[in-house]
This record gives sequence, structure tokens and C-alpha cells, in this order.
Amino acid sequence: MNDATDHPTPNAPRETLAGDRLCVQCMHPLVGRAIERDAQTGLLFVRCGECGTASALFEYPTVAPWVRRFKTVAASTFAIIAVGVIAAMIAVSGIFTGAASNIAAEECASEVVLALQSSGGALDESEFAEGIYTDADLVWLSSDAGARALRDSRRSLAALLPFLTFTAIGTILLVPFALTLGVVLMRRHALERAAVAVLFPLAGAGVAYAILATVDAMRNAGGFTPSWSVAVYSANYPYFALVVGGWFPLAAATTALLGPTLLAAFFRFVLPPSDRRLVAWMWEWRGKPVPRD
Amino acid sequence: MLSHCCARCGRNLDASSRSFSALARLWVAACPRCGFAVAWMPRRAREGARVWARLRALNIRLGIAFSAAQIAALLLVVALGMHLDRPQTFSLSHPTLVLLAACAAILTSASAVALAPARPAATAALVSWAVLVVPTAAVICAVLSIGMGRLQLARSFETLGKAAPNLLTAGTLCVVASIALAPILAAAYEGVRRGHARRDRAAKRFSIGSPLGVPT
Repeated sequence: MNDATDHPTPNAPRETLAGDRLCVQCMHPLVGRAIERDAQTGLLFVRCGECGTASALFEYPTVAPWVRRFKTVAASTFAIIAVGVIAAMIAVSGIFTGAASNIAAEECASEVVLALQSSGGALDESEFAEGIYTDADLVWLSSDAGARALRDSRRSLAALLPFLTFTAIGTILLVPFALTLGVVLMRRHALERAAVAVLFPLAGAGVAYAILATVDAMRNAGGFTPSWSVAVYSANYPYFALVVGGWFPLAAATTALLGPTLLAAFFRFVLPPSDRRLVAWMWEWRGKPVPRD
Repeated sequence: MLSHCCARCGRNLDASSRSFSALARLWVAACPRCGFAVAWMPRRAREGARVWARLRALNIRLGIAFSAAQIAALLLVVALGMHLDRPQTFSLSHPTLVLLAACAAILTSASAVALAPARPAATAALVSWAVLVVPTAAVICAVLSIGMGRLQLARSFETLGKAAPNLLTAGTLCVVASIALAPILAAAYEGVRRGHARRDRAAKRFSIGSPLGVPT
């Protein structure tokens, strides 16, 4: 006979279940339920307080060890994916914010020099090489004409082509990670999901901005008059960094918001109704029934 | 009935030790030697194996679909790169580019059939293009363009702008070809699958290795 009921006495207090178990029928927690014994077979079991289904304390063939191992593997995989996604989002947004802002700001210099020449400004021809070696006319740059030339240089094709290309590449690489983050955070509220998705690209862009600012400060150190390239770069890189640093978090937040819906739609298309229970959590975690069509 | 040992005394439990508990409404195996009783749930135990088998089938199916789509995207990027690099030599009607596009169309059709065999093949082909092939090609193009110089990139954009109408026509033809091929591939796959199933049934029917020793 089983130990807990070797010598049962009618008035003795019955043992209650101390460990964590769930009802096999409705998954209701069974902790604290009285342990009963089937008189005919000696089987120990507890009855669910919700649905009344008997759950045996021992069963053959047992699957519990494998379920526990699978849960460990799943939890580890989940944690590794989450850490990897966070690192990748910070890296992608940081690298591409830096690259897009740096190249676009440097490309602006020649446009500003051309604007100076067209407005009748003088340049030392012996030192001129695409606006890199000559000293910048800081007085002209701070005038209205100089400010207008700087604004126009940001919209020039020479600056926009690399800027948009690098921003597009960064977005294409960021979207899969944001999608994964949206699925990982599926059980969270939509606003919470969006806030977390904004956080990491913002951190990456912040780091990139700090590096750009440090490099700029080092190039301007020493009290010399900066070259055209350095002066235009100093004036324009915050603008490009702000635009791309705002775009990446926005794209990540939108993707993370739509991620679970898009992935559920994908699996609805790929899986026949009978197989959808493999990924039933995609609908159940969002409080929706598993589609049957 | 599967055979297992008693967890308490180690005696072998077989079908004769099984009985139904009316109180608990469960099948129970009680050890004939020590009386240790356990619920007998082979169906629940096999559930894990069933889920594993389905996941394995899904993994194989999606693996084929994703791999075929990635190869198709790679072929399309190669064809596009050849055309943008040397537009005079490799016009869109050049046999090499036509061959690459045809291979991409066939692979996309195969990807569609593997991706969603239960859906209409044309719809699956469109989804395969939209979800798998085009995004993969975009990522490959994006990664490749990082290594390109600014002048080369600008020249590529310029060539792309000039060739856009022809490229759109070629791309549309490629999509239409894959949509036309997908139902044919789906029918061929279904025929092969039915043939395998028929042979499996026949093999089982005449197997002498049946667990029960009789034809099943």
C-alpha cells in the first residue's frame, strides 16, 4: 500500500498537498487540497476544487522530468534571445546613427563651400581641396547667408543619398530584432511594449551621439580656426543624429507594437487549424481565441 | 499496454495489473507484489512525443521554405547586381539573367508549397514573395551596399533609376511565373506524398515485425 495511507483511521486529519501541481483538466492549482485514496486500488489522488477532476499523485509513464528539462531549455533560450535582441538593437541603432550622421555631415562641407563661392566669397585656391584644408570663414557661417547655406546643404543630394541609404539599412536590420522583442514582450501591455522597444534604440543613438560629440570636440580643440569640413560638420551632425536617432526608436516601437499581430497572422496562414495549438499561446496570451478557419 | 517497473519494488507491471478506478475515474496500475498504485496514462505520456513530431515536421517545412526563399533572393540580388554593374553587357534579356530569374521563380514556388501546403498555391506564392524573398533580398542589398563606395553607390542608384521600368516588368514576370508554377509543384508534391503514404500503409499491412505479432 502507499505510505500516506498505510493505516488510515477515520478521524485522523487527512494529509494535504504541499507541492505545486495543476489539475490535469483545468490547470487549477491543487496546493492545499486533501489527498484521497481509492479504496479498491490504493491510488493516491487529489480532487480539483474547481472542476472535481481527480489528479493522481503518481502516474506511469511519467513525463514530468522531461517537461522540467524542456522548461529549463525553453527558459534559457528565452533569456539568451532577449539579451541578444537587446544588444543587437543597441548596436544596430548606435552604429547606423553614427555612420549616417557622420557621412552626411561630412558631405555637406563641399555644398557650403560652393554656396560661399556662388555668393562671391573668396577662398585660398592654393589650399582648397574640396573644402577640407582651408580655414573656415566663421563670420560668414554665422551670418544669415551662412545659416541658409548650412540648411540647404542638409537637403543636398550629396548628403541625403548616404544618409537615407544608411538609415534604410539600419531600419531593415533593426526591424527583425524589434519584431522579436515585440513577441518576447507579448504578455505586456501595448504601451509597455512600445516603451521598452523605444528604450534600446534610444540608448544606442545616445551612445553614438556621445561618440560623435567627443570626436567633434577633439577636432575643435587647440584654439585653431577649424577647416570648412570640421566647421560644417560641427554645425550639421546634431541635426542628422537627431533625425536618425528619432527615427530608429519610432520604427522599433511601431514594429514591436505590430509584432505579435503580424506573427500570429503568419502562423494562421502557415499552419492548418489542427496544428495551431502548437502556437496557441500567440492568441491566448493576447486574450483571443485560436482561429478555427 | 506498455511495460514499466513498479517505482517502489521494481516488479514488472503489465496489462494484468491494470484496473479502472470508478471513484477517481482513472486507469490505475497497482503493483501485484507491494500494492503501490499509480495512474496509468500512456496517452498523456505520448502527448509529448506527438507534439515533438509535429514541431519537427513544421521545422522541416519552414526550413525548406526559408532556405529556398533565401537562395531565390540571393539569385535575384546577383542578377540585379550584374545588370547594374554592366547594363550594356548584361541586359535583362541576357540568357544568364533569364536563367537566374527562372531559378528564383522555381525556388519561390517551392518555398510557397513548403510554406503553406494547405492554402491556395497562388496565395502562398504571393505571401512567399512578400514575407520571405523580398525582405531577404532587401537585407542582402543593404548589407552589400555598406561595403560600396559613395561614388559606386550613386552610380548604382542612377542606373537603378534608368532601368526601373524594365526591372519592374522583369520582376512582375518573375512573380507571375512563380504563381503559375506553384500549383503544378503543389500537385506534384501531393502526388509524391500520397505515393509514400500508400507504400507505408502497404508495408505496415504485410509487416511481420508488428508489435502484436499479427497484421495491423
